[in-house]
Amino acid sequence: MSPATPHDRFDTTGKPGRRAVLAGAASAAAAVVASHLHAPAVAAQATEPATFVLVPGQWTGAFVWHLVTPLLRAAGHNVYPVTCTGLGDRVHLASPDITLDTHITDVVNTILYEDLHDVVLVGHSYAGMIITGVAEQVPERLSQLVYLDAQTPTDGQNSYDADFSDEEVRNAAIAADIAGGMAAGMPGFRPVAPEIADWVRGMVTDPDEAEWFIAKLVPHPLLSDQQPIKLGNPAAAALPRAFILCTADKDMDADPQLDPYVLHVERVRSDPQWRIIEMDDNHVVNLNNPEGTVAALLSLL
Amino acid sequence: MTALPAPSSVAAPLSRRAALQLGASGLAATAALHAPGATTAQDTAPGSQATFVLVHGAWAGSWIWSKVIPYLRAAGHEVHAVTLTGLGDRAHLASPEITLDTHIADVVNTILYADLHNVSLVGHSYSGMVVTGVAEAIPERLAQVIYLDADVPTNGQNGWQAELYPDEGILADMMSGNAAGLPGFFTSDPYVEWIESMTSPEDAAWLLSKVAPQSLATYIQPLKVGNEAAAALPRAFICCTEDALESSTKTAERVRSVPNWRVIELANNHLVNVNDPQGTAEALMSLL
Repeated sequence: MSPATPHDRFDTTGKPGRRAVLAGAASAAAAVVASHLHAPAVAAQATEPATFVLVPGQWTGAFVWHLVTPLLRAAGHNVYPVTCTGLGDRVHLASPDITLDTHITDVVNTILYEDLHDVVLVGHSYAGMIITGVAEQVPERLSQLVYLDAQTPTDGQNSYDADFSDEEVRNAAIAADIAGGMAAGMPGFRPVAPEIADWVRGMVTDPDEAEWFIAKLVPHPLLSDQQPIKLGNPAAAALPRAFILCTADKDMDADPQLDPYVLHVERVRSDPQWRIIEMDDNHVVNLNNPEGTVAALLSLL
Repeated sequence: MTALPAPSSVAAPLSRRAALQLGASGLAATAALHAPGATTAQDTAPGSQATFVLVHGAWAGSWIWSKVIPYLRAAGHEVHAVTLTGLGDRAHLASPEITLDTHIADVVNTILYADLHNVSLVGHSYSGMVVTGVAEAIPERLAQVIYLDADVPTNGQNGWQAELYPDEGILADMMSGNAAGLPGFFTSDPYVEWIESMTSPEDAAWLLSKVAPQSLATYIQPLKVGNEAAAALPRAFICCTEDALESSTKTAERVRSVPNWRVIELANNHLVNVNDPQGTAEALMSLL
């Protein structure tokens, strides 16, 4: 083991984790060699299986994919649902020091350590930020990016910038989230406020599923929303991308500012690099309509 | 040796403070071993026969099961391979503050958040410590505990004690982190020849490209064992008889006559999950 460089993953003052991410990327060459030697012996199938890496949104974990994952696997594909640090089954690692870079590295290292190639990288909601950052680090491992009703940041934007182009609206949202965390006694987190739970209840069609889901939501580390993303890798910019827009909870004719995801899809609609799929379901389509979600994902292969 | 994401030698206040903070606000889910609130059992994998949760050994990650998993899934089983904090794909979270309890919480929360029941919980090597601790915390979620050539601690033992390590071995582990500039960690450096002796050159290169330093606290922390529901769980010890570890042979002897234990012998060595993934999968499935 090479002498390790202490990294600044949890440094809240500077450029958290950048060096650690780069160190991870540096192991890519070794992993490429290894993957050819270790193809799973029983994976051979009539059609080439695809590799999906699924990244959950705000407050959630791998469990948000619990209905989608078995369907994709049943169709013969390799599926890796990730839980980001501090959330879901990694809630015991929660800390206000967790940044967007932490979550990007969670996914980058999943891809590198599991020797994954030609990955269809899927981000839901906030995870659009994450998969955009992952593409910057390991574009050579990805076949395409799929934004499932997800954020599509441009260079220098954080999650709030991506959602709200109006400064006044944006600042109000940031202030409300900071105040919400402090009021709940957890500064640095975005708690699962009762109105958030009610919003989810209004979207998940099966009431039992809604309560199952809500019981697992945990406070989200706010720095991951506040850290701007840096883009500039031409290989990442060249990757095919798709946006799956869920239309049922959106007024497509209204001001895009009223629904960030309308804003996102308007931003990319005229770009030939993007394919756009519309689904007549709402933001939690992966819970409400897993069969339709899987069909949409498979249509992109 | 390729540089993998390096652990921090600067104490990273990983979670304890925040977890306590959050826990204090009444959110049970944010504390290490607490259930994520009320849950209803749901079948997360229609048609699956059994649910395996696989836990890797020292320095490794979920990647070490990558050749075993396809055999289990092809037979229709649901499989969750956990990576323990600070290792494998979670190497960027490495910190000397990571304890055995952190690793136990990694697995407990995997089971709770994925809503798994009737789990066949498998620990390899060091993770015998982890799966024993998981059984103490949530025995009601487990069908059985399977020790793949793994530590079987008795009450109050830590990893080194369960592995019958002599003092000089413990000292060597402790010094290995210092030698690598990583106080608070132990590395696989002193074990490279041993690893190379157990598997093909290709697999050894693969393993050695992915192993990460592990926090010493995961071996220093003793495990308390005393939950009666955990003690009543069916358990199995898979003993690797080739170049057998003294601790494995003695553990097999110790548990062989205990009524809730089964012992299987595999004619392979400690890296059986790398050397013979099909045989490993078949041994695991034979215990269902």
